[in-house]
Amino acid sequence: MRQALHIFGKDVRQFWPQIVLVVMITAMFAYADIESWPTVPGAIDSAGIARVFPFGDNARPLIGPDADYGLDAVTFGDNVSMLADLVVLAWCCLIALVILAEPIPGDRQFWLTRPYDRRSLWGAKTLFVLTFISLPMLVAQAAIIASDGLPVASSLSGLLWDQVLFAAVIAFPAMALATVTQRMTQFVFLLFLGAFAAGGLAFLFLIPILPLVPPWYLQGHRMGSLNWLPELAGFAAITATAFAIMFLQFMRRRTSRSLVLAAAGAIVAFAVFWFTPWTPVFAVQSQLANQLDGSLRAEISRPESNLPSYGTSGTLRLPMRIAGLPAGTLIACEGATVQIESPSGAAWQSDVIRLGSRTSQAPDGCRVMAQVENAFFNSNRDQQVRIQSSLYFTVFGNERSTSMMPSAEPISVPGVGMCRASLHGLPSVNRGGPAVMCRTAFRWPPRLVWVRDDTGRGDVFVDTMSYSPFPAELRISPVESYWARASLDQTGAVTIVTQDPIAHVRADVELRDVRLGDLEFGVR
Amino acid sequence: MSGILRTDDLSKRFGRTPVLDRVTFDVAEGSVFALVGPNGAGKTTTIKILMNIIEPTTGRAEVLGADSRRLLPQHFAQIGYVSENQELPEWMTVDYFLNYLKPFYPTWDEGRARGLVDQFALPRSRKLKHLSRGMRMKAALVSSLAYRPRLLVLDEPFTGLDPLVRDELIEGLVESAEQTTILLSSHDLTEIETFASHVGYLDHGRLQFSDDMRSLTERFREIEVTLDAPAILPDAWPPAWLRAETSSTVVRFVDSRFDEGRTLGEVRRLFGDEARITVNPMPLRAIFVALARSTKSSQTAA
Repeated sequence: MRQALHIFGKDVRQFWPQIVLVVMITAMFAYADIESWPTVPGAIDSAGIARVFPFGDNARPLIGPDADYGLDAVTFGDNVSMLADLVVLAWCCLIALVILAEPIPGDRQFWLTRPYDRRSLWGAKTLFVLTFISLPMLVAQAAIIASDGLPVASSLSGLLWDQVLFAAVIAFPAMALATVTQRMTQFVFLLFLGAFAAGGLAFLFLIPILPLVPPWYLQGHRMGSLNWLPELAGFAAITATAFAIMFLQFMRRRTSRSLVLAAAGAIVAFAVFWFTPWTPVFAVQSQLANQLDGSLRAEISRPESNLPSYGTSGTLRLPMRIAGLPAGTLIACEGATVQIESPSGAAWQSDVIRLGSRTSQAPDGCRVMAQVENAFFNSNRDQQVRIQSSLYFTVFGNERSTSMMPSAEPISVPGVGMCRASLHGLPSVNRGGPAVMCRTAFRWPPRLVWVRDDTGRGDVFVDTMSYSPFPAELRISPVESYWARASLDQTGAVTIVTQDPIAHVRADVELRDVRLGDLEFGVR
Repeated sequence: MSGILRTDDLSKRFGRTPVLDRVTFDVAEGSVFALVGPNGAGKTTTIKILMNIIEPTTGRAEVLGADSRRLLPQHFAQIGYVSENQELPEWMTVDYFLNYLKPFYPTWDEGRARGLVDQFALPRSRKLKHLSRGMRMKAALVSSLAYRPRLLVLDEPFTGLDPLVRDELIEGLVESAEQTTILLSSHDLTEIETFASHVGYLDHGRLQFSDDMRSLTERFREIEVTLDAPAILPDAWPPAWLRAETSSTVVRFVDSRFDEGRTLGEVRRLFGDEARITVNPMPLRAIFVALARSTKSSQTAA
């Protein structure tokens, strides 16, 4: 420990100008982030929520359904986002500098033949990263939260968890990368190479513009609210790889093996992010929630038969109704599998059809669309078939509501954060009508939050929230802000409703003796 | 073997290129062992393996009784290492460099460090990057002598230094040689001749021999044989007689296993009793030149 502190002291003395610079950049980011949050509705931005990892779920809307960002807002948010990127880059460079003060590959470094205790060296570098990166980040995030009127004390778990995530997914991998390089130029080259490779592959998977990536692929890889599980597994793969590399490098100096390990770890992490099967993910999520009693059941609505048709789509439309739901609950449709058996014994089985955790259809059940193999569909179109399906859905209960009057000051909404109702919302969202803006620290809460209107229905803030039980997601900017359309009741108040995910359910349904063509979508 | 440092069939390949080939030698405690040989002979590779900077392909090395691949901080606390191409923390001043290293060594002698800095006239407040090459070597040497190491390993410490600095360094080394075992590599033989007690000759990755200096210089003699008639080399030429050359009535060669009675007897047997024989001792440099050329010509012949 004494030697670790001694090396740490040397590093501080060597890099104090760089430390000052990086802390200043972090402070600038905090200031810009605080300044970017609007004091009046109309300037809310999404890009201010800086996601630092390219595999994040950037594809989903960050502001409620039907979000449409104004040009000014996006431009302003881009600046903060760019600053966030700069902060991460500056942190990575500082990490590389301190590791490269005692480079591990090579055969000319003076420290190799000095009585350095390798654990002390590793400890000193880790201490440096925690002191001059994690700590300033924590202080900056606490300042942003406090400036936004959110309680710092109750955000402590989020603050700490975000530090853990950042260290595990950004700082330690950056340390590991630096341990396999000899010079800063190598580190920067590998950093950008890795970022471009990861970003490029993610782009290929996210944007289905190439013939190689058909449109169904994007839908097929959405995890919706379950996304946090493969994300966590991917993060775990990255962290485990980083630690293994650091162990190999600091304790054994095995650069060739470390490079092989780095490549393998990157491939595993990427595979986990993108190719984790959906069904086990749902099973894990189910285990994390309570189980409902057996009164729940699902059924496929039987279609009217022999309606005239005007073409062939080959797509089945299966309206699923859920019965036996406890009073006051809503559901989110997660996914389904479909199997069809013809009288001749031929069968067709779908992959998991992902429904994206959307709650907008909740009162009606779930609508499953299945693209059936053409040959099978055409040969069995007029046959009486048996359809079996497994429907996966989430039940939301424990309803709580909070009424609030439109005002200039936000109020605390239990289970959500600080919310403010406004008579005049964002023009592009709500045509200037009443709206509610809520801000939360570190992540949108893992529950359904919506604004109820007079009919008992309403607008959700986030239609696919994460079911993650952890108090923070990987991000630098610690505050999220979301809007929902609102309607005032007779007293002029707005009601915000929260419902927790109380169970993740799989229901198996069967429909016998139905003409396959009667379930065809969009040709009548 | 019972040395403070030893190698046993040490081999190293970089890819398909062999650099060391089954090198075995032993350095006794208290000796000054000079590992000599031409450039590319494998001296630096040997030393890097001994210091656990790189690993051997096969064979093993022991340093202070420990496997070189398992050297621990407590071993390095007793080892000083100075290399011509070592990368020092150049942002440090001389004083800070020494102060930084001090806590790593339980036996650090501050008085000795100060004395060596004064002896070498090192500018204390100047950064290492602003020192000349000679000054940097001096700073590295001070940082390796201040804790009175049991073993001092020097890799080409005098290369590129002007004679004055070289003498100063040698002077510093000679002072510490009484209490420290020294292994140094060099391709400049004159500089080690004055203080090396043992020498190993490495060529093309092979250790040609390893011996103590006195027996080496006693073993080698330059022999000049003057005959009455034009000289012809006999067919039965002893293999220990190197670099034979004739000039009119004179035959010259280097005897690598000189023993006065035996050598003179053999000369007379081959050239007759009338041959006039002159025996000259050889400086180390001449011995190695003879060895190197002899090795080269035998390789060419092969």
